[in-house]
Amino acid sequence: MKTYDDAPEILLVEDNPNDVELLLRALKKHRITNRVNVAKDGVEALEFLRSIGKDAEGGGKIVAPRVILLDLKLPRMSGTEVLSQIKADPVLRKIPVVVLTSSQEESDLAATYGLNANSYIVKPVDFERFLDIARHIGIYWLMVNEPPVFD
Amino acid sequence: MRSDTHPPSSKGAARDRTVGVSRTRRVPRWLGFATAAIGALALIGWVADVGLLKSVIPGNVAMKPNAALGLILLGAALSLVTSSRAAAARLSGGFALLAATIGAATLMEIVTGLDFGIDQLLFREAPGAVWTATPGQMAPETAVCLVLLGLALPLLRHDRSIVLAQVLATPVGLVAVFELVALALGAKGASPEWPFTLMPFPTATAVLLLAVGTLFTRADLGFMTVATADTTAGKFVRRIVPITAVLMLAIDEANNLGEEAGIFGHDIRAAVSMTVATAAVAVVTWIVAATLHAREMTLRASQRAGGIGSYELDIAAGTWSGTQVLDEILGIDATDPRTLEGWAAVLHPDDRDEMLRYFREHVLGQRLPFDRDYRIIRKSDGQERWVSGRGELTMGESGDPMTMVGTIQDITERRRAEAMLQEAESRLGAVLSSAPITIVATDSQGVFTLSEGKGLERVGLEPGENVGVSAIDVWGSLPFVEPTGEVITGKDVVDRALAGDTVNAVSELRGVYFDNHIGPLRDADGEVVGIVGVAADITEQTLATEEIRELNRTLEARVEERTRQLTEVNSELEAFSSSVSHDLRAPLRSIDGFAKILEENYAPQLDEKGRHYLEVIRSSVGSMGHLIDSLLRFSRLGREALHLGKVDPAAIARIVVQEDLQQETQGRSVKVTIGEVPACMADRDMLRVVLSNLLSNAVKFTGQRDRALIEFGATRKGGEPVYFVRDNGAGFDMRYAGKLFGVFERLHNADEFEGTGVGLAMTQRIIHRHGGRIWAEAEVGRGATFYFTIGDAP
Repeated sequence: MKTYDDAPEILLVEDNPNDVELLLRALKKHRITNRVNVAKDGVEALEFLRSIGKDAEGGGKIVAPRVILLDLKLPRMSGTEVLSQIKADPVLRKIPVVVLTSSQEESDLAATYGLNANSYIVKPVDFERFLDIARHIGIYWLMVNEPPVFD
Repeated sequence: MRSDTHPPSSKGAARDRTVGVSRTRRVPRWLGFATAAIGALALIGWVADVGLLKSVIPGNVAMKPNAALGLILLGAALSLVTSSRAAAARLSGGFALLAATIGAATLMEIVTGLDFGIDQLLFREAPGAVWTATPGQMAPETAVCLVLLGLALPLLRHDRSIVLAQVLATPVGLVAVFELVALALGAKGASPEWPFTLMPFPTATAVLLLAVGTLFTRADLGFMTVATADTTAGKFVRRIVPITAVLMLAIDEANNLGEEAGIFGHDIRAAVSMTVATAAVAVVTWIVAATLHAREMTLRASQRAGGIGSYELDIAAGTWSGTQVLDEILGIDATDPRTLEGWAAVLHPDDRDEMLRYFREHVLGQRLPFDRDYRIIRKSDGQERWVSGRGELTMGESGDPMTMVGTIQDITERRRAEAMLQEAESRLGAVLSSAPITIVATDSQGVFTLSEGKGLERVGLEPGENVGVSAIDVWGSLPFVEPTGEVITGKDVVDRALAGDTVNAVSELRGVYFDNHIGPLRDADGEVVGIVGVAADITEQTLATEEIRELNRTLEARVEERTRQLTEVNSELEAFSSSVSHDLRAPLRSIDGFAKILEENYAPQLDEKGRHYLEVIRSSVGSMGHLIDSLLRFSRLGREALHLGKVDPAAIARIVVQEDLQQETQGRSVKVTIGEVPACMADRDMLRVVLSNLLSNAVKFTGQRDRALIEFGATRKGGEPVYFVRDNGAGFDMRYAGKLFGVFERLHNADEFEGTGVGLAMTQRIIHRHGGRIWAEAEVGRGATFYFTIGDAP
């Protein structure tokens, strides 16, 4: 049984290890958190989230990440599909999902918001701006925003 | 030229014109029997001494025994002369010559005055017998008659000598008539006026019978032909000769009565006789002449009507005579010679030698009828005419050709008509055989009589190949589709056409489709005598129609398929765009990120140069990020819908200058003039992109000017507003104007002017989507002007 303190605050769904490294570095640099769980594709992400659900069925307290950072372009199962499954799950759908992607396509915007994504952020190419964004995400979702309550 | 066969011979023709040949052949045989019977009765009279049998008329001279014998012989000879048995014929000849000998011997006695003892040979006649000069001796005319008849009868056996027999028999008949008339008028025999013994009545009768018999045995030949001919001349001979004889007797009898009654004397009687006889002969001649005249007129008229002239050619003399119509046909007049040379002169020069050779070798040489069509040059007007010449030879006694009688007919019009008909026929034939259709005809049994046309080639048939074949054999089982869609068999088609129906149906044979019109062929009376059909090859139309039908049927499916494909391509394109924006940017971000980390963490270890390289890497990444963003925007433009509305380009331009160009113009002397321009229908956001691109381009390319002058305005060209953005910048070489609007095309060095090479491509794309045009005019170092129209927004 994991303790609350051990529980990850962020589930990062990202297949590109470079991006993972850059984001983790950014979060660490701004001393926001190092409790980040990384899933390398959609299937892994869902498996992790479902394991939380099982704990709940076992009578344990649900310890969910405060936010999911979801890339759209993923191997095996796309981010859109992951989003749709999360939002179809009565428990998991409460967890805020921030789409963090390189895509500026309107179709992606329309699709993800249509699936009740909580936010849509475009990853800039410029690293400085990227750092800046990472800082904003950490501050907002881990400090400003109140997490949902699970029964 | 026609063939030269001409079957009927002149002899046959002559026989055709005689009446009752078989009857006139039998009659002489009975006449022979009658003559022999008279002679025999006379001999019986001598044997039994019955005067009546010898003289018939009491108190008249008696038939002498030799005369009786001669008559019996001649009678037998006449009866046998027509026999087909050679023995009988020889016997006939023997009898005739014997009778002639008796007659000749008697004549010798009379001429020489000697007595050969033949007169009293059979029976003795007492001297002083009534009306007898020399007892027992026949009258000299009887003797002459015996000789003549005895010679004539054998001549009847040969066609060529028949006319001679007739010539010999004619005076005999006249003598007999004379004797009978003399007896009738009361002459008795030897007298002071007539020193010779007259023929006794039975002898005269018998001689007349023999003469008549001889003349009529072969009345179809010799000069007797006319007496039996079925012609006007024959009628005249048969009627007028007896009438004349009776008339003469009647005149004489009337004179006798007149003289006896004392009306006129002997001298007057002779005058009356002469006058009446002359008048009678004149009347008869007149009738004959009038009839002949009418006949000749009719003949001439009919010849003229038929264009037929007739001629008679004397071969030995080489001269001919012809009818007036013939003169007209040949165009000759009385002055032209009626000779063979005269005929040759009118012949067409091309035909002359051939015709003369034909006449010489074929007609005269082989003695065949003349029958040729040839050309002449009509002498009167020099016209070329076609004539048809016919002629038949008549042979003389020697068997050589003597005359030729024939006709010449002008057949120019007929030949012209024939030639025209032939031309029409050959023209029709050419049309038939070259028409891209098939034309067939059959007889009333449905057997092909005609099969022509180019259409036959399509099914591998030769023209005329089907002729003689039954249509039912060819079409019988073939399906024919009527316009109603009903399918009938070829046999139905043939049956219906023969029943008078016209069938219109489509058939297929060896992959070739025919549109058939098959109907009855009728004669002038409207009777169906066959069928006639025309078939047009409609294979191409049929196949094209089928194809169109098939295309129509599949059109919807194909539209769907195409739409599906397009949708697929579209979504693939979107997937590509998305992939570009994501996958190309991710590595760039890594490069930039790690370069930055390197700079932050390891800067002390790097010298100035190393830090510069890191800077270059990061600036390149930045450019590439811009490129990708531009490219994505460009591709998105094609897919976004236009939101048209009335916009004022000048207002948009002002916003652009204020909002977009601020940064770029900072620290520079740039004067942007915005004129009054017409409003237009356009997508506001897109038009802003256009103006932004063009104006920022202008700002960019005037970067090296101390005073940059930029103008936005509009002119009119052909009633359409033309907007322009003009600058006094670097300009460009017009040779490269074609590359101006291509994606990633750049006309300037990147060191001189920054840019992605997408801006103008995007501008052009927006203008095109509005239905407008864009072009530029420039000169290196002297600025550039970009013109564009918005067009009637679609």
